[in-house]
Amino acid sequence: MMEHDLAYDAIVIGAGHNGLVAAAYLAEAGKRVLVLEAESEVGGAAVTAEIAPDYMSSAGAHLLYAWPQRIEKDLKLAKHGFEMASRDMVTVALDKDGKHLVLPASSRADIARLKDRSPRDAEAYGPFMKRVQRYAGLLQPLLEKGLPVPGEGAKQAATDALSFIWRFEKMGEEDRQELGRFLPASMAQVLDRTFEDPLLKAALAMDATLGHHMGPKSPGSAYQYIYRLAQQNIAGGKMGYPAGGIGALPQALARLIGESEGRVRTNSQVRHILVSDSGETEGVVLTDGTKFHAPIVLSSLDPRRTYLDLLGAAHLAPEQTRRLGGWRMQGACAKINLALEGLPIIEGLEEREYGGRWLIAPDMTAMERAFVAAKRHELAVEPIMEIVLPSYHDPRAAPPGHHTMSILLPHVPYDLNGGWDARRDEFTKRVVDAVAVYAPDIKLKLIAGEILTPPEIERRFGVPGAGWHQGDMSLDQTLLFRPGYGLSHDDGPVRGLYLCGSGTHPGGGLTGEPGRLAAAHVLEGGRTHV
Amino acid sequence: MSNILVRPDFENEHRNEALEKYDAPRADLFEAGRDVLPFEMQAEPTCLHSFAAMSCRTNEWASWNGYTTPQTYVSLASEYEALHAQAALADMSWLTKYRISGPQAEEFLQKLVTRNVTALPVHGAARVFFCDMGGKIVGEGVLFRLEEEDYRLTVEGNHLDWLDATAEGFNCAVEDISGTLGCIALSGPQAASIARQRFGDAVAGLPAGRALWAELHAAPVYISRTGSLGQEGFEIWVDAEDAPVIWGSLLRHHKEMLRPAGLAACELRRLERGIARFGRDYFGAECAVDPDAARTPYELGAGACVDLEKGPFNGRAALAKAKEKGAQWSLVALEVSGGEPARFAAVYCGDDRAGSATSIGWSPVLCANIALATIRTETLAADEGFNVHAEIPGEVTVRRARLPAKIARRPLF
Repeated sequence: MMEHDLAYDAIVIGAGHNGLVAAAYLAEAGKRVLVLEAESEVGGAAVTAEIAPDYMSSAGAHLLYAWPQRIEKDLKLAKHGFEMASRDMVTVALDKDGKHLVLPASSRADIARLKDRSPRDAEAYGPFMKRVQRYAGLLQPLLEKGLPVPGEGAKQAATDALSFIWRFEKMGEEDRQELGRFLPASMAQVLDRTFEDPLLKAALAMDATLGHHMGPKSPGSAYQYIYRLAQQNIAGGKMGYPAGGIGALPQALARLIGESEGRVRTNSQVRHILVSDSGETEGVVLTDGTKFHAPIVLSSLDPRRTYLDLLGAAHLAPEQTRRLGGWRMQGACAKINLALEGLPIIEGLEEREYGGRWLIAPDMTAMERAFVAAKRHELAVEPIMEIVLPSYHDPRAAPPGHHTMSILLPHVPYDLNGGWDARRDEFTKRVVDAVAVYAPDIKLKLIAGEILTPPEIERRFGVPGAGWHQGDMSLDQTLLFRPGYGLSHDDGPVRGLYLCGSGTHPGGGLTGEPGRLAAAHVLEGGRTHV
Repeated sequence: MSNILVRPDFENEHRNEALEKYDAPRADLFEAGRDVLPFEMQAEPTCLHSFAAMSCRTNEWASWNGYTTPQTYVSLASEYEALHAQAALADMSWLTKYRISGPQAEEFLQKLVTRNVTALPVHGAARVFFCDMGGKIVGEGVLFRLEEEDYRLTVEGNHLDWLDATAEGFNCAVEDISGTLGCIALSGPQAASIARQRFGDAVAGLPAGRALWAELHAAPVYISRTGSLGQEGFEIWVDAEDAPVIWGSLLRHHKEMLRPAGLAACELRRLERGIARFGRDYFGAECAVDPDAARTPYELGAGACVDLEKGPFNGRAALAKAKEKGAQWSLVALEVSGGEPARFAAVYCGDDRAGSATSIGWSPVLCANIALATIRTETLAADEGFNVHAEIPGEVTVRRARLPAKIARRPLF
C-alpha cells in the first residue's frame, strides 16, 4: 500500500449511519476521510437485507422517524441517488375489532375515528398534543447543537442557559408546573389523567418506551416521549421511508464519501486507537495489524467500547472509568422479517394506511406486562410490535404482488430463560400468532421468515445489549450526561478523539445528529482541552 | 453502657455553633473534638491492641482511621519528652496498606500518583499524592517499592475504590493488606542507636527514604527510614502476628530510653514539625462535603511531589493549570502569642478573615500556642499582621481574646 493510503485527515470508526454522516460532512468540507467498518457492508443497523431470494427487508432499523431533512440538504444526498419513497407515514394503532386509530390525528377523518372511540379523548387530544409540543420545543434547541462543557465554553453555556430560562419563563405558570410533574412521571400517569381510550394511550406510550428499558409505568418514560418528539421536530415532524429500503441511506452516504477524496473500507475491524506520548490521537490499528494515521479519530461505537476497549482505560481518569462502568445499555429488542405471498388483509384498514407504521399494543397493561416479562428474562405472552411493510413503499423489495413485513419487537429479554437457541421457534410462532389476530390470512401467505434475537442483533450490528441507542436514554444518560463530563466529543480524555455515535449527545435513533454535531466540532477545530 | 460513643447532650447544644464554620474554636489535639458520624463510629483494634492496652495506664483511647489507638499511655508530658529527647515507640498499625503488584504495577502507579515512580529504586520509599481530575488530592501516603513489580502504598482513609477505578486496563493487582501487616514507629534522637543495637549497623546506616529486610526473634521485619512525624526515626513493618513480639522485645530491652507514645504526643510532635495531616488539615476530594476543604499538592506546599513532565497521570492538566495560576490557599505554621494554652480556629489578617487553623496545640518546648492553618495566599503579602480569636479556658471561666499570630518557618522545632 502507498504511504498516501495510510495517512488521512480523519478516521471514522464504524460505518453506521452516524459514522457515515460524520464522515460525509467532513468529506464535504474537503477533508480526506477514511471510514473503517468491521462488517462486509456499510450501514450498521441500517441495512437492507434479503429474507429469501428476491425478498428484501430492512434487517435492523426499518423507518426514518426522525431523519433531519437538513442533513439531506447539507449533503445534497439526492445528487448521490438518495430519495424518499414516502415522506408522510402515519402511525396506525391496530384494533382487534377493526376500529383502528391513525396518529397524528390531524385530518378531519382521523379525528372522527378518535371521536368514534371516545368523544372525550377527541376533545382532549388537541390540547394535549399542543402542550407536549411546547415541552418538546423547550428541549429542542438543546438537541440541535453541541452542549457546552464547563471551562472554555462557559460564555456560550451562560447564553444557552439564559435562553433556556427565558423560554421556560415564557411558557407560563400552568405549563411550568405541569412540566415539573411531567418530567419525572411515567407515561402511564400522564396518559391516565388525560385520556380514557386504552388503544390511544398505548399508541402514545409506544413512543415513550420503544427501544428503551422501560415500560409505560416506568418513572421517567414521559421524558422519553418529549425527547422523541423533540427529535422528530428537528427532523421536520414526519416519518418516512427511503426508496430502496433503509440500506439506501448509508449507501448514498458511502457513495458521497467515495466520490470525494475519502474512502470507505469494509472488513476492517479496529483493534485499538493509537495515542502519542503527548496524549493526542495518532490513528488506529486494525486487527490484521494495518496502521492508519490521522490526527483526528471519530468513533461511532458506543462509549464503553470506544473508551475502554479501543482507547484503553489507562488513558482515562478514574472518574471516567467509573462513569463508563455504570453506563447502561439494556433496551433489548428483537427483529422478525417475513416474506409474504400477497398483502396481508386487515379488516377496517384503508388503502393508504398499509403504508403506515402499525402498532400492535392493545393497551398499556399489555405493554407493561411485556416489559415485566423481559425484566424477568421471559417472553411476553402478548408481544408488543411495530410493523412496517417495506415492499409497500419499495416495489423492488418483493416480486410483483408479493410483500415483505418488518416487525420490530421491543421488550424482548437479552438473556432469555432457557436460552435463545432452544426457544427462537417458540418466539417466532408466538409473534406470527399475535399478528394473525389482526391479519388472519398471514399464515396462509407466509413464505419465509427470519428472526434476529437480541444476541444476534448485538453481534450483527455491534450494539451491546441489543439496544440500538448505545445507552439508555434516561435523564441521567442524556444531554450533558451523554456519556458524561469529559467524555463526549473533543472534551474527551485524549485530544483528537471524538465520539460520533448514538452514545453521545443528542442520542439514539436513526437521526444522524450525533454524527453531524461531531463533524461540526471537528471542523470548528474542537474545543480546547479542559 | 453500650452507648459510650454517644456524645453528652451539652455538646449537642453547641453543635449549632460548630456549624458556623468560622468561629467555633477547634478542640485541641488532645481531645476527641471532631463530631463522629454514626457510620464512622465502628473502630477496630490494631494487631498491637492488647499489648498497647497493657502499657496504657490512662486507658485513654483515640479512634483514628477506623482503629483505636492509645491517646496517651502514661502521661502526655513523658511521651512528648521521649519523642524529643530519647526515643518512643508508636503503634501505627492503623494505617491503611495496599499491595500493588504485577507486570504493569509501575505504569499503574505512574498514572495514579503525581510523583515520578520510575525514579523510585527497589527498597525505596517516597511520599506520594494522588489527585482527581480537578487536581484536588484524593489521598496521600508513602509508597514503598519492595521489588521490581511489587509495591506497598500506606495511606490514611480508604481508597480501594479509587485505586480499582484507576487500575482498570492495567495488568496489576491491588489488594488491601491492612489487617495482615503491623507497623511500629521508632522515633526520636535515640532511635538510630536503638536500631543499631537491635537490628545491626546496616539499619542504623540507612539513608532517609530507604528500607531493608532484617530479622528479630526469627521474625522477618522490613525496616524503613521513614516516619510521619517528620523527625529522626524508623518504621518497622512486620506481620500482624509477629508485631506484639517485636513491640514487647523493643520495650523490654530498651526500658531506660524507650517508651510508648500515644497519638496525642505524636500529633503534637507532628505539629511542631509542621506536617499537615490528611483528614485533619485537609480533606480528600472524594470525602470532602465542602469542596473548599480539598486541596491541591501546591496548596499544601508539596509541589515537589508533582512531576508534570513525567507523562500522563490523573489530574495532570488541572495541576498544570493550578501551578500556572498559583496556589489560592497556603498551608502555613502559626505561632500565637500569649503565655497559656488557647483554643482558636478563625485566622484574621487585620479585621479580615484570612483562613482557618486546623491543628492547634500548646508546645511546651516553644512555650507557645502553635497551629497549622490554611490561609488565602494573597494575605501572605499583606502588611497587616495576623491574629486569631481565641478562647482561653480557665478553671471555671473562659476568656475570649484576640491574640496576635505570626507565620512561623516550618518545622517550628
